Amino acid sequence: MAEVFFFLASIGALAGAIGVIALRNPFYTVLALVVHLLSLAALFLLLRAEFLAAAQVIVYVGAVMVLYLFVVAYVGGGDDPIRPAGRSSLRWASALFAGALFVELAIAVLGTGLTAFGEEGRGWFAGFGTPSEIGRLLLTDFLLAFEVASILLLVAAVGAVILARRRTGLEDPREISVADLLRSPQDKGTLGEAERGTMLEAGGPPQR
Amino acid sequence: MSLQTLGWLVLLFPLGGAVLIAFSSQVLPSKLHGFIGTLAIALSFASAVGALFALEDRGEEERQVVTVAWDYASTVGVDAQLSLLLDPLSIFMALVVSGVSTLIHLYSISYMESDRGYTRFFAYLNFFVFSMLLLVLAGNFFFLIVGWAFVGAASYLLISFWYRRTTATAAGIKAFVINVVGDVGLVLGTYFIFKHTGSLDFLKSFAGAEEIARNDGDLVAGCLLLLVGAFAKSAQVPLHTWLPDAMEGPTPVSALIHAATMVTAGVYLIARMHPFFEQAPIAADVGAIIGCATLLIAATIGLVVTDLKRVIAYSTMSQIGYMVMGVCSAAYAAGLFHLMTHAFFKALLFMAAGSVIAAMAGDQNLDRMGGFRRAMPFTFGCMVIGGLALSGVPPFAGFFSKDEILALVMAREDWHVVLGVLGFVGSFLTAIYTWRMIFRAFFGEPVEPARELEGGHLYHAPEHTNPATGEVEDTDVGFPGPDHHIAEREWSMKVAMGLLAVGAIFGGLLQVPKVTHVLHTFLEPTFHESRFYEELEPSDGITWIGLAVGALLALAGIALAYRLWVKDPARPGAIRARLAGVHGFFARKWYFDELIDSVVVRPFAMLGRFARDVFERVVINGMFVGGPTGAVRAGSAAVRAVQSGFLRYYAALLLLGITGLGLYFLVAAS
Amino acid sequence: MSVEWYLVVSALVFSIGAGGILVRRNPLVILLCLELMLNAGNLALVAFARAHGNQDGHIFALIVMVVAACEVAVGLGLIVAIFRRRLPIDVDQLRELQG
Repeated sequence: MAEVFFFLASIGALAGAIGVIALRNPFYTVLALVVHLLSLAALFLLLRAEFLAAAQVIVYVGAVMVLYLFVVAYVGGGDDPIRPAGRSSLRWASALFAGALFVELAIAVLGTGLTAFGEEGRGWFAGFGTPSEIGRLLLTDFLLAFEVASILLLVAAVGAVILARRRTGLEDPREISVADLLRSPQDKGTLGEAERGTMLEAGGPPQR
Repeated sequence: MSLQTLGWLVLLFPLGGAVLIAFSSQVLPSKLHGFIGTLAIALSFASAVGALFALEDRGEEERQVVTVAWDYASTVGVDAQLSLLLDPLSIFMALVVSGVSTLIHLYSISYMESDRGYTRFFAYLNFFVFSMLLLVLAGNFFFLIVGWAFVGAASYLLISFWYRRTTATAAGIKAFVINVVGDVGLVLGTYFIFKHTGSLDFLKSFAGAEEIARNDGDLVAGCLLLLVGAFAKSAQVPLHTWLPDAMEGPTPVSALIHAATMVTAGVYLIARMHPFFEQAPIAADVGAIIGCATLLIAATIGLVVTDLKRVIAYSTMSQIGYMVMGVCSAAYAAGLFHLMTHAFFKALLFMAAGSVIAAMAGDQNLDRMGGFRRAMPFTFGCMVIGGLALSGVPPFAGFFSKDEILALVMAREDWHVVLGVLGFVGSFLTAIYTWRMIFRAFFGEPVEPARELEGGHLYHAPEHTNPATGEVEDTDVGFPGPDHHIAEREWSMKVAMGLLAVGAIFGGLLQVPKVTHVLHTFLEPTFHESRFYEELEPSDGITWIGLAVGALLALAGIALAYRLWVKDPARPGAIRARLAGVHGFFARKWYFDELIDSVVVRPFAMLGRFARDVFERVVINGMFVGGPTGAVRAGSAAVRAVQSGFLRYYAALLLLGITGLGLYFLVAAS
Repeated sequence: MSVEWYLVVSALVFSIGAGGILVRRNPLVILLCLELMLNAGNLALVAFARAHGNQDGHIFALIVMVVAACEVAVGLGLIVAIFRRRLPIDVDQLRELQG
């Protein structure tokens, strides 16, 4: 029975992964990732990691992916063209690299001399993977990691707010990049080049 | 105070004066700087007198004292110490230098008064006196070379004192370059001597001189190189071309450096190195011949030049030829005696010439001078005294000193007799050109500046010009000042000239032949191991004949000059027309400038151009600099191509790296 | 199922994620592929925790989840900022940091 579930979950995970890299609409890719994450939660359950599976579903799928959906809805991004302009060589190279990486990892895993991998796993005691056990470990052995992680969360939250806030006062911010500053201007080099319109319309950063 | 302390004080007063003037140049009024400078040298002279007495107090055997302040380096046999050698020769030179310098400083207080660079002038003069004293008091070759170089630098600074005048700066550079040639000779000569004696210290070196074989190749080379150095500094042929041009400097500079002190450094060097020259007679003979040649060449040129200061400059060159001939023929005391008397009357002549030039508002051309006798009686008197001393009229100083040299040279009795005869010819010429100068400037119809001065008003030129080229100048810093000062009106100039006149009149009494020999006895401790010092004594006959001939030639020269330039002013023109070729040859200074230009200057200029255009551009910039930088630039351009800005390229590289790493570990583990 | 299977799945997902980063141009999707790789790592950690019999791997995976959440927050903030400035949402055109 466990094997069936394993294969089902694996197929789900792999399908989701392939969907992420293959689907053109960013909305669909988010959904594909959701499928992948749920399959991964199932795999965690198979490995007796109950708490982690729950955390995966609640935190990852429930919060992070929802955030993603919001941003995709806001930003959009449109559909990527199927053939990216120029750079087609990169697709074959990336396939090659990814394939090579997989082959290496597979050799490492399957060809290993560690005998433990061939088995189901060592002693499984009652309470393995339960929240109480996880909680105990977090507050005793891994206290530092716990605290640092909480600070990290705080920092990330503040950072995200700062990055994405709307700058008051600037109606139509012209972006001055570092390259613009370093390029010697043919005109006065003042901030506004009002005639040019947006960078999207101009087709890129202003060339001087 | 002990001899050693006094010796150091002689050096330190001028140095302190220079430093004090330099650092207070903005703070104190410039008039004060003149007094500080003069006081510093006066104190130095006083210390030298004190040192003289302290030296005389010692016993006969202990008259050569070395005082060491500091050991610079004692490595591998090279002992470089900060040491002074206080012996009769150095004290004598120190007295002459500091004494004449004091008077010249006094003269300059008034002479340079309206010059904007007054303070700088005194700082430079003090520095020069310090360097010259360092040169003469040095106790080892190392220190001597240091003083030698400093003197060259000071000479450059003072010749180009009016630095906005292109002629002055060109002259300064010319003097410096020729001096450097001399420096090289001096250093190489030191090396050759050091090779044999193994010590840089003078006394130790001299002690080792006797062991060297006579006319040993190395020693001859070393002495010849020392002669190169001496000739560059003392303006002997062929390194003499800088001296006439050096008259671009202010007159006190000419008086001090190019009459009394710096140009005598070469004579001092030969006298000091006499143990080596006596062991290498070839070099000494070469020196004597060149000294004789110089005195004749310079005398002939002095007959035809028309610039007042240049006549005196050529006369300096000629008289130093006498001194060089003297010390190279082992007439040491005589040569140094002539050095002393020459310092007196030559400085006096320059000072008087400065006065005349001031009356002419800066013009130095003899052709435009005349009849200053009534307008400037004091200057005329000093000029006459100096001229009589220079010509060798008894009982003035120059008579005794010059004739002593010639008598001793004749007493050598081998081919040196020829040199002696030529020396007498030279003294005849000396009288002629000296009095030519005096008669032309002071006799005859008074020119306009003279007439104005007789009326009590000093002549002012309508606009200030460079006397040589006629370019218009202003009177700001870097050019001569607007006012000129003549001796009749300035007490300091009168005092200085007066004291020198006294020296020119009575100085000869120190060494009247057969009667007094103050200098000879005084200098004996320095020269006691010389083979010639005691033995070389002219016979009575030679002495009296020499004195008589010398006096007669001087008076005949004066009479001839009188005939040509006072009685019959048209005669010189006629003679010049008849001997136009000879006159032209002398007037072009025997074509030495042209010779040096074609033999030395042009090849070096070509070499320099080649170095700049071909070597520097192609080899160094192209290959040595361009090669590595080009390679680096190409390499970094190649590497820079990786930084394309494409995120996905970076990610691809990252992935490639990880894959490669994994591959490595897989392979290593299997 | 022996632990090997899970590890192979993890490796496969990781490679897919890596390839996805190289292929996609939309930064949002690239972040998603990054999530794939992180999750593959999580799977491997949990599998090893099962193999060893202790829960250190679980804790590690939990912290990885925390880090991933933070990184997503900041990354999405960046994308929003880029969008606000009307720059194209395309990593090929955001290439100012070049040599």
